[in-house]
Amino acid sequence: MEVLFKWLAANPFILLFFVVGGAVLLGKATVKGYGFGMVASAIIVGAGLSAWASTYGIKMSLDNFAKSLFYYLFMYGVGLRVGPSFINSLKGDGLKFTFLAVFCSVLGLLGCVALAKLWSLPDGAAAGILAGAMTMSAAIGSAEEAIKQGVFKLADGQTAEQVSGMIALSYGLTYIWGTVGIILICKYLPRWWGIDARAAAKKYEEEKGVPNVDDAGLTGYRPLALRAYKLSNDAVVGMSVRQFLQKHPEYKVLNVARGDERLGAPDDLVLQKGDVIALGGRLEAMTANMGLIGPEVPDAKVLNIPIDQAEILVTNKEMEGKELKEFRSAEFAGQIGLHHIERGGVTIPMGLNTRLERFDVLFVGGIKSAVDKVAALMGKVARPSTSTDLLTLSVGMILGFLIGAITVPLAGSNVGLGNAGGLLVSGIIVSSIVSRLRFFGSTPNAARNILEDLGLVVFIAIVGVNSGAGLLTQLSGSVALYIFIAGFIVTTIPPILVWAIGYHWMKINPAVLMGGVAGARSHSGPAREAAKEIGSSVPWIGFPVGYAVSGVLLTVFGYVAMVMSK
Amino acid sequence: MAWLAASFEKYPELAVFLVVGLGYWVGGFKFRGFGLGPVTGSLIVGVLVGYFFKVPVSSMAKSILFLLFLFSIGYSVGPKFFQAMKGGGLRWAALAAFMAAAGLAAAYAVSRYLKLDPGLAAGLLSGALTESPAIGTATEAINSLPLPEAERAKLVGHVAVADALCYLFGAFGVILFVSEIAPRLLGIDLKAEAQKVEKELGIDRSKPGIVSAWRPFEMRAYRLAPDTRLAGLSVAQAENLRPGVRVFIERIRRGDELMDATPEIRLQGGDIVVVSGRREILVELVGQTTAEEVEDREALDVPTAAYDVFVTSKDLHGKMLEEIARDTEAVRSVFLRGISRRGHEIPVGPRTRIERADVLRLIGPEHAVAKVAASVGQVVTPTDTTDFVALGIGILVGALIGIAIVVPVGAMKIAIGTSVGTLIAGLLTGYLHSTRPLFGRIPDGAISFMSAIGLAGFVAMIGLGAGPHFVEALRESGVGLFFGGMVVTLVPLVTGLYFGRYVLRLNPLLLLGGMAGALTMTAGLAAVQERSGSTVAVLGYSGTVAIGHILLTTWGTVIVWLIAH
Repeated sequence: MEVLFKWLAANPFILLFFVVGGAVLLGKATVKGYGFGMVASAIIVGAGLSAWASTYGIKMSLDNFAKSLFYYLFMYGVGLRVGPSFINSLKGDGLKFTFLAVFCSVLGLLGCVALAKLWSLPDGAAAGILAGAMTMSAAIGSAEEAIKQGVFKLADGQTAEQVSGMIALSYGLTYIWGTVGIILICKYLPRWWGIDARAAAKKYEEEKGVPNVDDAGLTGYRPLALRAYKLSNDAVVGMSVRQFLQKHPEYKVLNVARGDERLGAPDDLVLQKGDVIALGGRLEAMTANMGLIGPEVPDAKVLNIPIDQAEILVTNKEMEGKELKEFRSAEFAGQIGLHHIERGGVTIPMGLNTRLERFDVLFVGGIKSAVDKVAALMGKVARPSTSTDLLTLSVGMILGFLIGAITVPLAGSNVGLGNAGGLLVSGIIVSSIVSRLRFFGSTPNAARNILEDLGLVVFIAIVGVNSGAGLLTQLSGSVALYIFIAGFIVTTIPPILVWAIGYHWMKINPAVLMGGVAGARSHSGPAREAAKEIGSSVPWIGFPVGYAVSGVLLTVFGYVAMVMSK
Repeated sequence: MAWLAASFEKYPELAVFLVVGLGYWVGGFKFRGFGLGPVTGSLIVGVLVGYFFKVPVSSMAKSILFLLFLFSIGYSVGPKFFQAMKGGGLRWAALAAFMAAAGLAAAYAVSRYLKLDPGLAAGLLSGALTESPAIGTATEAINSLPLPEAERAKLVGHVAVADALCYLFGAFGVILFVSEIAPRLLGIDLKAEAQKVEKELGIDRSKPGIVSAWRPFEMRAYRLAPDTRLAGLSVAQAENLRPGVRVFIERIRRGDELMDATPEIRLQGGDIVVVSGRREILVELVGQTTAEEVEDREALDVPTAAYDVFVTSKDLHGKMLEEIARDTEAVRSVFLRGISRRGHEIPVGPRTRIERADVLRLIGPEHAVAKVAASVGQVVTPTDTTDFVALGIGILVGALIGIAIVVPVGAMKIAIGTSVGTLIAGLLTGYLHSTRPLFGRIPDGAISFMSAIGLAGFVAMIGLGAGPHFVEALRESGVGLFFGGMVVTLVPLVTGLYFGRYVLRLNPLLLLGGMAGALTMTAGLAAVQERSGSTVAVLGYSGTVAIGHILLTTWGTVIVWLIAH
């Protein structure tokens, strides 16, 4: 064993991936569906390994540069994710869930600090309990930031490692009930109140018509039809494509095949008998005029016309205020389908009289050339992409550092958001702008997930390894017991109060409220469990706003807890 | 300035992102289609920032980013790499290996002639052959040399300096050679050649986000004539009128009532029926009866789904499609769009046998497809989540392999190194994923993000570290290095051209693409495509680029060992 530990300590990045790999495996393991998850496992594996090594007198440590690099990436990723819903949280129904989230987070913070003071728990315990009992691992980072920035002043003879060790320890002790408890509570709350959540979900579905969350489905109905016909009608033979279209403006000729040759559809092409014509138009126009050209033929070659999907941002001033029906006679009509329009990040209902505004985003699909034409007319086009715009990412990161550097004098010391807070804010700013403007800053969900997950797990793994060495010296039975009890209280009380307020005072539908409680605790586990329990996706409706708000608050509260508990 | 210097020292991460951002911006500038690209941009900006400011970067963060990059690049080229190794890709593999070997030999000879230290030699190789990942492998190799730490840091700095210096001609030379000089040497007209090749191959172009308007399966609504001969038949009987032909009635509208079709319902004249089937069958069979097609939005609004299903069922293994189709009730309304076996589309006919681990592409009404999918195996739905088991354990195992595998070269024993090990782990994971789509799923977006941020961040940190050594190294061996770099760039190109044309007898246009691939210079491919007015050269490129990447990256380790001993 000693040889292995020595070797790991000498090869730091193998040690890191060793911890991450171990954490992934441990995080996968579940007992009756409950497991630690990857992140909490990282601290267990990291601290455990390093504490074990310390019994041989080997000190394992990983450097802080990598730790903060990945933590910063993570914070920016969180900002990117919550950005769009963060803006929505300030209006309409979102306000209720915002309130619940703020309430829950503040209660949690106060609870941790008060209990830590009451039982005189060691420094760092309050922040660690907050991170564990509220299962917000990111709070560990902001708590450490408070030490690094010097806002939390170390006592004489106290080292930063000792305090971070205590943060990690309290986190580990409280996390287990933090994650299992909230799932159980959320699941059984309606029963304790004697409410049939299943019926409530049914009622909600009937009233509102719940959109299908699972968007893998398409519909068989396609308003735009594209079919191939073999020309046999003598009335059409000899016409040019232009003449044909003048006579039948409801159609578009997209392609013409003569023998083995594909001719495209130039305006002056004269149609001959036996040509195969690919015709596009609305389905009703197609079915109304059967036999105009001749029999339909299944011709894969002539119908092999590229269809493009794009998002178009309206930036041209002339388009402002135009109604959709004005484009009826445009050249591209019938070649392009408008799936939906987003305004200010929200899908708006659309009809013929919908007026365009600047910075509307049109989601279109259709013939590639027509999509390009519309894009040129309206403004800018953004196509789905799998690559990440690293320039925007870097600019956003720099912006975050700058925001974090702003300080205001408060009660004798300079207080600022710090790097982590600054990055969170810049992530929110960047993603709300990008979600409106589309054509830059592409960060596919997959990339953002990697930014978050990888950033957090690497960060936590390093925290675990670095704190493990001092862990055994700090641990005593009674302190551990107190920390566990404090965590139990902080996990259990706030969600029950949130439920009571939401149900009795705000009159939120119980099924939605189950998701709201999960959101206020910024944990998707209970929402998933609630949805499974009542067999409906209604709980997810109450989830996102609170999730965004409390995610940000709880993260920042790690820093605040350190300051308050001093 | 003082504030900036203090910030960089306290928060070196800030400097890294500043360098990457500026690097992307600088690398984006194009002069006649030739730009530095983001990676070299980051390197140069990094060197400049590092020259003016002291930025303490950590070697661990550097290694993590680099390993992430290597794993992703391995993952993305994995399927192609193994494809190239077997079957028709062998000639392309030979071209790539030949050119890589020629590049290594040239770099070794030039370095010996100019008496370069291992750092400069590695930079000469990585720059002149435009393979920035070789900087990483070389750095790792240098760090395992038995030298004092200050000396090693200097050598690592030299890698970056020499790379930046040689990269300019490295990139420019490849583009110029494959698009202008080589066609003249071979005496071919690129445009004419491209048309010839396209005709031979019957080209197939694809672009993300673009799909063909051709839908092999359709759903249409027909109104049955009052005197239809289908009247009185049940749905099941009507569907079986022509044995062996698969058409299904999904819904029926009778008067105002819209009902889902069940096999027992009897049809009446005047019903509107929604029928699904292959397009040609609908057009030829149903379209030419007395039934009249109608537009009925509500009836046609059947939720349909397209699923990729991974076959795990033992019962299905070895069965022919026609046997399965015979059990109509079980596979009602579900159509098979294609079968992919070990990552390749296979031709599908009634007698095709299904094997376990095939991926079936099914389409049809959502509930019917879901039912069939459940009995066949697991649905492969698109995901945004990365399989961290594959990623985390993959890198760990790769790093361990790199240390464990030791190649004896003469009297020396060379460990292949954690970076090459990780590259191999990535290759294997990517390949296994292509054959078993549920294993090690890492979405494209995540892969491209990790390789972009991994390489750019890594190179930026290398540049920051190299800044202090920049001026001195340039003064000592700048001019020699630059011309040496030209030699290293040109040798593999010239020899590769004749080797590929006259020994391997490759098609000249594809050869040019292949040469760009062997030196992993995508811009070179783009130049050939532009001059030839066709994308077809990518076929050569994709045959060589995977092997090019792997060999050239490995050369970083090799050249350090060759020069140091």
